[in-house]
Amino acid sequence: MRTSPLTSVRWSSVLQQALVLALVAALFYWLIQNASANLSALGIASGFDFLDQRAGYAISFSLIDYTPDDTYLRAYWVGLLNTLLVSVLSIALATLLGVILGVLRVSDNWLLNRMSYLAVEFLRNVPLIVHLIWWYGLMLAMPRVRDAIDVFGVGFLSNRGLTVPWASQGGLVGWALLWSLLGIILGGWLMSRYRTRLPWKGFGPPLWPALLVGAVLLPLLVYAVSDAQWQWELPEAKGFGFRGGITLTPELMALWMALSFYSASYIAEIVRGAIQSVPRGQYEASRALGFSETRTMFQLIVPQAIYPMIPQVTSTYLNIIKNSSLGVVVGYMELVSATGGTTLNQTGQAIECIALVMATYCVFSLVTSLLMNFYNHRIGLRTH
Amino acid sequence: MSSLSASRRPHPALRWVHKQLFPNLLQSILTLATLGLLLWSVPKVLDWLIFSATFVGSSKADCVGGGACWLPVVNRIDLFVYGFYPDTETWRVNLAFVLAGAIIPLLYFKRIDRRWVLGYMMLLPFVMWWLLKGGLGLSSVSSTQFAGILVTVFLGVIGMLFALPMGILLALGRRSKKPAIKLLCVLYIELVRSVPVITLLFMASLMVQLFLPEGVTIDILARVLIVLVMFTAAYMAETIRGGLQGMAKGQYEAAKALGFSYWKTMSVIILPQVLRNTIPPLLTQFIGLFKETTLVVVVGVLDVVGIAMSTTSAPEWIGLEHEVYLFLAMFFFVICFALSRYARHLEKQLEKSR
Repeated sequence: MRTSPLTSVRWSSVLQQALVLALVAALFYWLIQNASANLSALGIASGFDFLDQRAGYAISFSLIDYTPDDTYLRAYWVGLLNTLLVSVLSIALATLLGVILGVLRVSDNWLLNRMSYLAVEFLRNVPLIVHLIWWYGLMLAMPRVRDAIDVFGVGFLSNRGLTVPWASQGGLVGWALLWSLLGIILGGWLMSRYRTRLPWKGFGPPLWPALLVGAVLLPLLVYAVSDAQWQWELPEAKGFGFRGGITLTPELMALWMALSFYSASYIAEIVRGAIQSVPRGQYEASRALGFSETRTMFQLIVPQAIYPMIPQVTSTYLNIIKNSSLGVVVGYMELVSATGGTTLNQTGQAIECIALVMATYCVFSLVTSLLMNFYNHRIGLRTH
Repeated sequence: MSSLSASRRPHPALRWVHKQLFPNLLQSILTLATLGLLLWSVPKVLDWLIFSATFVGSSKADCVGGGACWLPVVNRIDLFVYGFYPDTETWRVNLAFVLAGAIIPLLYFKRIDRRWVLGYMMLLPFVMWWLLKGGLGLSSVSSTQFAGILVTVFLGVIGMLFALPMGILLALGRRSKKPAIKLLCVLYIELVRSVPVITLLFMASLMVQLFLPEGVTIDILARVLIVLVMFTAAYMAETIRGGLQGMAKGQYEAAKALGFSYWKTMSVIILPQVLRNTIPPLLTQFIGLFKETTLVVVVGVLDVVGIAMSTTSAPEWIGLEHEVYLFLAMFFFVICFALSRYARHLEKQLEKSR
């Protein structure tokens, strides 16, 4: 009996795939067999029960209350928050520096253009770890607390790090940020509702003032109706340390600076590419209509350049989050050095700890790509 | 008369200065401020770097010029380049460096048959491995003697060349019509791309041992090499996938019309074109990998960063971080910047040839 060529092709394809899957399954089976044999030989029980045990190690910088008596799980949360903290700080500073460098890169001013080019090329062609160890050395070489450098009268820079004013009750800042975030969402939602009702699409007021008002107004409103007491606490030198305020440790400062300057070079290149992708005719038309250079830049070029920029900038931000794992080099207790490092070494639960850390990073990138897809969908709708 | 016309139509150089440096008040202020900053800082920096710096001497006490003290780099240069490689065998390292560097000019000459270049690149990692690690007539060198620039180049070049075939297979798998193969490739690529390299390196140093049968051990250098290959291949797959997507549909159809099988279509028609078009982005990826290799210091492999860190913490050279790290930064800057300019150049050539 002859089978038709079509079915024989299909069967061979199915067979191939089955073979590949079987091979992969066999590989995993072999690895798991080995692992369970090795683990039982070492006397390590698999599972995540160890997370409830006492951690027993100190973390010098933490956003939430933490002592060595807390559990490994709480140490994980401290690490996660530290990762997010340094990432958010770096994203803010890197964006600021990157936009400045990128705009200078397309400037007509030859001197500024060349200087920015040199800076960008130097920053991006030196590995992040070299940036980091250099900044860390610099931070540790700062003067002692007694001779701390005064930063604009509000902060102190010493070999203990940067001490800045902070609310007398630390928890308040978290609440303020939370309400601020809610305010942004609320402001954005109200504004976009208002804009969809306008007869002429695209000519409504810009979105960002509403976001800004929401971010500022809602926390203030909540503060006014609640009975919380807000007070700025200025740091003052006291013996070998500072009293009051919050101290950003040298590790945090070094990681923040290194990540910001390194990533700024990538953002600068994105900004440059985006601005240059706007057709020259747009610029010339605007100048011909008598718009000033500044107005042309901010009302014509930037709005057009910003949409193609967003996917690339997002991936740079994601890289900042991933690169914050370099904190392990200087001993900044973020996700990888807390759970993937100290917890792992103390408990020996290598598989669980690394899986936990990796899963957390996967969640970050999954959430980001979902947001990106949503955004691309929106933009796709807008351009059609 | 000539002086009058000259004053009406200024010299081109002057016009350039006016247009590029002083077109309006704000720009003029910025230009002058930058110029002032440069005039103030450049002499000081040059003085520190070169004129008052100390290049010859044996200990920190010899640094009296008030400038940079390059002695830790000068006195330890062998350690920086060769690590703990046996002194009598350093010719092998030099030869390996030359062989690796030869790829760059090979990519440039269009006259050379691409199959020779590809063959060279396929053979190079094995030759380098044999040269550096020994065996087959050469005395064997332990991985613990590997350190410094040697490790950086070893991991960068071998990692890149091993990642290339794996990246190609992953890219083809991701575009495959067979759902099981596509799913596996997508899972692998996305998983690897979403975690930091450091977690993968931790995996290599702490976890791999658990998954191997008892008594089997893999050298730490080989383990980090495998991780770098796995990691680079995932990113490379995306680059090559971009190249595959950019291929005209007619190419596939023509191959099909000629009755070519899938593998023949790919290896004879599609991939040669894709690889040629993706040389610049692949070179950029190599720069990325070259910078990423520095992370191996986290799991205790002494690459050039590790040597630098141990130098700055050595008691006789303590307090000279700036000089050592500046040397390190310049090392990476010179190589990566040159390569990125070269990639730009190849890209422009490709655009012209289209």
